[in-house]
Amino acid sequence: MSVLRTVPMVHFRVQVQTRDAPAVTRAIAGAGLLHLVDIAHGRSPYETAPPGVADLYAAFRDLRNRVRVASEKLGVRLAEPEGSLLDNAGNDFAAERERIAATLEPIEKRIDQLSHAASAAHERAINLAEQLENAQRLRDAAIDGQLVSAAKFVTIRFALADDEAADALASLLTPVPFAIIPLDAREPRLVAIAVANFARPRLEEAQRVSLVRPIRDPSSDVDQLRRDRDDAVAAEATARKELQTARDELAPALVSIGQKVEIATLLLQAQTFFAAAGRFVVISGWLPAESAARLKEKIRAAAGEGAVVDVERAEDVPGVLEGSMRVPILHRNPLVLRPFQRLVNLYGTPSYGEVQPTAFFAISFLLMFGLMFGDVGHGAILFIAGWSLFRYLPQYLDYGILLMEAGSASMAFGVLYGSVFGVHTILPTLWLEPLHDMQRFMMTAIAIGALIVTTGLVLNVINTWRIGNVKDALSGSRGLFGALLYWVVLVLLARTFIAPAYVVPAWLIFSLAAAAVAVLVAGRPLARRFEHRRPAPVVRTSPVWLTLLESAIELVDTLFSYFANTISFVRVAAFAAVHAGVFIAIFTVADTLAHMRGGGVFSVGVHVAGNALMILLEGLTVSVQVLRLEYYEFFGKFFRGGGEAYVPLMLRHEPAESLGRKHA
Amino acid sequence: MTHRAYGFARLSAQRSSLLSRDDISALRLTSDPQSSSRAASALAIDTERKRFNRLIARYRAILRCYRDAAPLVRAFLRFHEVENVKLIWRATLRDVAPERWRPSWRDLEDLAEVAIDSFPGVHTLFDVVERLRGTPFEQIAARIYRAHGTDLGAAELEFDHWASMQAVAEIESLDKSESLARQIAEAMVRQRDEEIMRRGVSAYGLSPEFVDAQRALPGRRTKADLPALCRRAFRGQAMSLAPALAYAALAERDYALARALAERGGDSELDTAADAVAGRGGG
Repeated sequence: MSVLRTVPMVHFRVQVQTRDAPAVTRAIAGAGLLHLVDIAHGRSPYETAPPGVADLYAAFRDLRNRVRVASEKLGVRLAEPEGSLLDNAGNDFAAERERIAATLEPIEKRIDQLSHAASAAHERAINLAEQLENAQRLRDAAIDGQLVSAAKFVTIRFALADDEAADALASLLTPVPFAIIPLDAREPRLVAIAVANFARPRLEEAQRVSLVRPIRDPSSDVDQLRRDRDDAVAAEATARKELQTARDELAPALVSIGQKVEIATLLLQAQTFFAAAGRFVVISGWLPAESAARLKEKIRAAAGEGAVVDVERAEDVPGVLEGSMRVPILHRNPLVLRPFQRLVNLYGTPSYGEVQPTAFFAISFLLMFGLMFGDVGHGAILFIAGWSLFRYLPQYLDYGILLMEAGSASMAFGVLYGSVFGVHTILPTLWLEPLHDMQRFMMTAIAIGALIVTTGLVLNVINTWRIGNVKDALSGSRGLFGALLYWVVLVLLARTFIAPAYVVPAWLIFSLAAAAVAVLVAGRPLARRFEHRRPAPVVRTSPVWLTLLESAIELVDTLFSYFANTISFVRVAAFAAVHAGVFIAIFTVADTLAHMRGGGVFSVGVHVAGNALMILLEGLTVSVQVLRLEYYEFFGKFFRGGGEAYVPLMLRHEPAESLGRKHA
Repeated sequence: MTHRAYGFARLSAQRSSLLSRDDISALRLTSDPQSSSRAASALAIDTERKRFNRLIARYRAILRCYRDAAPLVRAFLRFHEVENVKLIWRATLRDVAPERWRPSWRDLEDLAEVAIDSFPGVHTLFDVVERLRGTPFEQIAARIYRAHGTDLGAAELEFDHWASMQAVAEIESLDKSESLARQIAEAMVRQRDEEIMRRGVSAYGLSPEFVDAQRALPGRRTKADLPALCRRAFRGQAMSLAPALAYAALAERDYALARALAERGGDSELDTAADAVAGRGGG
């Protein structure tokens, strides 16, 4: 059952001579299979990396940064590094660094000169355009620059200022005599600032600490400025053209350097994870068991018979079962489960060895969504929306699949309810109508809740057993004992509150209770038999009666929480009733409008808008409620998490889901 | 309220002195003046970085726990970010290569509004203004460019004044019940005002009268000094914003001390970078 387990992993350890390390790293990156492990386990990788790797890695990171800056200045888009380049690249990173630096330097210099010239030309063109505009405004205001400069007893300056800046300037100029005269009405205003000659230094300093925009040369000739502006615009165009020519000329070289640098940086980064031991390098990582032979072959091809490869099953690696060593996980789910995998990952990444909950999640999600949103018409619309996404917008593939599946569930329950856009006369009601048979529906919802809670408890027993904690798996309050007790109380409650037709026989209740007692009694001896580890010495810090009391309270508390979780599923019935109720509201409003003059159109409008709103808002609400039930009432029972996604060293990043298909 | 109590507890846990015991014993172990100087230099730059990281961590914690105070905290963070903007402004005017001004950049990590990588290929002030588009500095940078052009002193003073005024605007909007927090925040702004005053007169050659006009909090003085205010904040003010601001103020003081230590500690890399950007030889 591959959907219940992640892909089995093996630990892959390679020992090669230091001189072969670059070639082996290339082979590993080319294969795209090995999820590297920092072999120093928590210490800095630089402490164990082969000699010189850390320095080279730093040098290539610097080169990568320089290439990125140069390409950004030139407006060149760097391509992603590809595996095909591997064969052409050398293994001597030091020599490669020298070659790349020698090629890059003149390119950087030329780009810098050209972009500098283009920037300066652009700034000049903008400034001249502003000066021209200011000169025109002065001319429109009939200001004679020559006359103003010739003034003997006053200093007059022109500036652009908004009210705030003008007020600030005025307060700075006080107490000397001054005048700020607005010359036009445009914002920011053109103003003339006049002070007596003796106060000129104060004006100049005040201008330095205010935000008025001074017009430096009021006597500028407008025609000359226009010519200068045109020249500057032409110079800017020339500079841009030169930059464009350089772009066409330099782009291929820059892209090629970028690729080489990216690959080398990636490979060197990988090597910082390796451990150096004398003349040898040890590489450690994880990969899917079925791919181990393929990688072994590639490494042998790169390093010859000198490579020592050691492959070990994840279960046999010390620390994996105890959880001190993390094994990356890779899912291999069918396409229909892909969107649900995403939703599971939103909650957390399951750890290796845990039962994969995606299939359970998908089934319960669709069941509850269908129950709450059951309608053939609404389901069909969701399905069509999903199919459209699936067909025309492949980037939203997961959403498309999810909508199609949710739509199908909705249609299936719509058939059972006999509901098509809320109309119950088209199809016969095969099961029930939520609003008219509420009590039965609530019981069904609680039964589904009990089933999901039980599934959660069973999964917890399996997960706890798998990590070797047999005692808790059997006699823990969240283990088999707790599950059996939950069922005993559940059937006792059922006998009290529901119709005799559904009542379970007494022998079954006794059997469940007997099984619970048996599990409690046999838990410790069975744990000793199966746990394969030395039992921890019993250290009593409190008297037996207190321990028993604590355990009893914990058990009662846990049982209460199970029943609270179960009752929580009543919301499934409540939201189904809301769905039916909103239909009634829409029909009532539409009918009222239909009886008015010309109300037919409004009535149709209410039907269309009401259904659209229902699909959007209620669909969203129902989805959130289902997720809430899944995450809190179901996952809370068994999900351990803390896993790590499988991310192998490769030149092109691929999401883990697609890797699952690649390995399949 | 629980957010605030949590924030108080969390921030209390971050209190510590400027130099650790290990740092001091490392200095003591040196045997000659040269190695002492080298150790002090390395320690100074390391301490400065650590202090700044701690300051940023403290602001981040405050932002997380005191969400209603976020605008004020962001205004205080802008005091540091405006230094980065001034740095790139200076570097562009003096045509300093990026590798020379990068060591002086204050890395505000995820709290930064302006990224250091936003400035490749910047050659003119106009380019800088363009790159600041979409940041809180967009408007002020454009106005300063138009008003002061290449007058670096005036531009820097204006940037500082603007950053202080942003903080003052946020202080004004604090709730009336936060009087101690207001006093602490004002004291922080006032300290900065003093620093701007000093710089305006000594570095930019402006007269004291005009620099005084750039004070964000003119004329208003409080009798209590900042450490005294902080001490008051730590006494039974767990539900107020005051302890958080007090911790920020203390971290700011620590960082200022560490920075002074780094700038005067003989760290050649930082000194060269600072000289280059400030136009003191080498450029």
